[in-house]
Amino acid sequence: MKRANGFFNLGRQKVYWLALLLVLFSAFPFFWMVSTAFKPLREIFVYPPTFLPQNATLENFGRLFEQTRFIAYFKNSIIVSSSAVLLTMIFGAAGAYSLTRFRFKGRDKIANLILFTYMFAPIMIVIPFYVLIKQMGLANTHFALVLAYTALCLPFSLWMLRAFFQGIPLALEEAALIDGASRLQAVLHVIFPLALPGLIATGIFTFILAWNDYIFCRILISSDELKTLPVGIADLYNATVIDWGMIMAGGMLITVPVLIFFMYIQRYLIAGWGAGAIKG
Amino acid sequence: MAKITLSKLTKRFGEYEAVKGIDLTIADGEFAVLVGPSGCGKSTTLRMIAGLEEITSGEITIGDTVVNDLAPKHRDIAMVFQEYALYPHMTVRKNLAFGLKMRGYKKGEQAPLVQEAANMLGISELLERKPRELSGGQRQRVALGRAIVRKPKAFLFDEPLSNLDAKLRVQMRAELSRLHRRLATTMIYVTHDQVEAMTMGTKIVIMKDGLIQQVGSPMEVYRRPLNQFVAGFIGSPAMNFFKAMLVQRAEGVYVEAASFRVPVPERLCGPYQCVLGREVIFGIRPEDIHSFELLQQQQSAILPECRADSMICGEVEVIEPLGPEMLVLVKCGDQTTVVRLDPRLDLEVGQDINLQLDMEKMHLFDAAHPHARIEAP
Repeated sequence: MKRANGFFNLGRQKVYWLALLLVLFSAFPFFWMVSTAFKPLREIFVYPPTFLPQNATLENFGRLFEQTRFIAYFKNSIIVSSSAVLLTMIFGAAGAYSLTRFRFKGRDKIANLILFTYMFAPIMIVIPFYVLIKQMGLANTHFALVLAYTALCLPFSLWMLRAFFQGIPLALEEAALIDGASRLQAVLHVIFPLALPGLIATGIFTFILAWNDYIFCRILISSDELKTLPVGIADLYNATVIDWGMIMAGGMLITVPVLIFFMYIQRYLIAGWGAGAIKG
Repeated sequence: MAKITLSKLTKRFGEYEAVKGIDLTIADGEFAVLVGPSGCGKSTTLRMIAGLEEITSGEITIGDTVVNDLAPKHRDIAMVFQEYALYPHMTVRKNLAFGLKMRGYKKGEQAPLVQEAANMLGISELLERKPRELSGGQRQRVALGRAIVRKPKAFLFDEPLSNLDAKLRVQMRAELSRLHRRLATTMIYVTHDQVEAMTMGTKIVIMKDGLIQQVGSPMEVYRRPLNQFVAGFIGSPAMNFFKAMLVQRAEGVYVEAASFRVPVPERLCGPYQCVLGREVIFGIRPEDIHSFELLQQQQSAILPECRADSMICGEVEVIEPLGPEMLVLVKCGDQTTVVRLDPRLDLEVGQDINLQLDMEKMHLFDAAHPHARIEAP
């Protein structure tokens, strides 16, 4: 059989090499951050630079914990991000459920409008949002951040969950109702387990957005002890002498726990996808 | 176990009236089949009984309770859906036990009930599997099992066999009938397939355009269809219809159609007196038309009097051999008639054939709008 020409003719091996190159390219900054985090101060500015720390040390981490409020930032980030995830999942699931299961006027228009709001860049709404929050007397609180992240993530979550809920046959819910479940029980026992991949995906999306956010925290939070990690770490640049080792250690501690967490969740996510079959 | 009564039951979706004030009583232990073409309101009726669809007006009674405002879970009914609706994330065992769990049965009470239902349907070895690992027939059994496990007052079936292949459908039909005899519980079964209706129902309810056309036992509706729609819907192949006139001649009363004229048996002349000279629809089933030649050969006892003048002639157009019988499409004048004949008959497409109508089994319908049966006792 004659093989196809052009790009598809590259051969499996070449494609793998290309992919590897791409992976190296994007993973290098991450590698450099981790490597620097373990280098003593002297070694960081050595020329030519060393790839791996010659005298690996934990002193950067020590300074991070002693001289900064890193632990408080970390705690703030966890609190704000998890609250945003919780709130988004509750409102997203309830909203998406009503968008798929109840008949009301303008239902599809509302659904389309929701996606439209997602087209506004966060930077466009952060100042109006600040004014609003200030008027409500919520400025400089974690709750303001949670509200902001929930508002930012809801459109996407609603859209995503709506697609998931649409894929679940109505008959399953009706079967549950007839089997003796209340509507809430039917949702909890039948709809949610089947929409689990969607719920996890929206959860991950919200968590990452909240965890990485800089701009909202910068504008809405003024007290140092309430700051989340991105702003907290960024403020380390304001010192007269920039302590790169400490910043890299902080950067690594922002990334690594989340990375491990999502590697674990991902396995669960894939297992969830497999269980999605309704009718064969 | 319960009697189910519908009175003046109506369902409107916006402007569209899907069910138009129907009255129906289904006795305790009866196997009632709601049958009709799609869009006739049969599924909507079933869903209203189940509580999945709100009632616009009217009343539904299950047992002695008016259930209009009761949630499905308080109606104590079970339902089998067309697409099975098994919970895909639960094993068969959990699917069966779900209804029991929701109704507050303890774990220890659930197990024997699940086992009993599984044994009854022969699915005990599938209990640990997930629905996606089952074949269509097995899923159907699990769906049935989920319905019978909690011994409800009534079973509702919404076209449960339509996703199965033909062979399995025949098998499940018999199994459902057996199950009905064994459980002796009221069952309401919705289908568009008149064969399912005839073979399983103890009572058939034929619906069209949101109205009940006729209620009766399978043989009743077959022998005495109340209007042309029922006559054409029940029985396969469908009854043959001809526009005709009923005319009085010296020798007796005749049905006169465009291409033939056949005498009405004397017994029926009296009852049909009222439509003499009027346009009517003459109906005759394919099985009530015989080959004249074959009847003569066999000197048959099928027809008491083999009158030459109740014979019509036509040309064989299509022959469909089915094994034990054959269906022959015969062109009489400008109309094609379906005839069910003995396959031993040596026929060829294009040849002429003489057909003898069994006029004792004729049907007459009003040619005016309701197409109602003109009664002959």
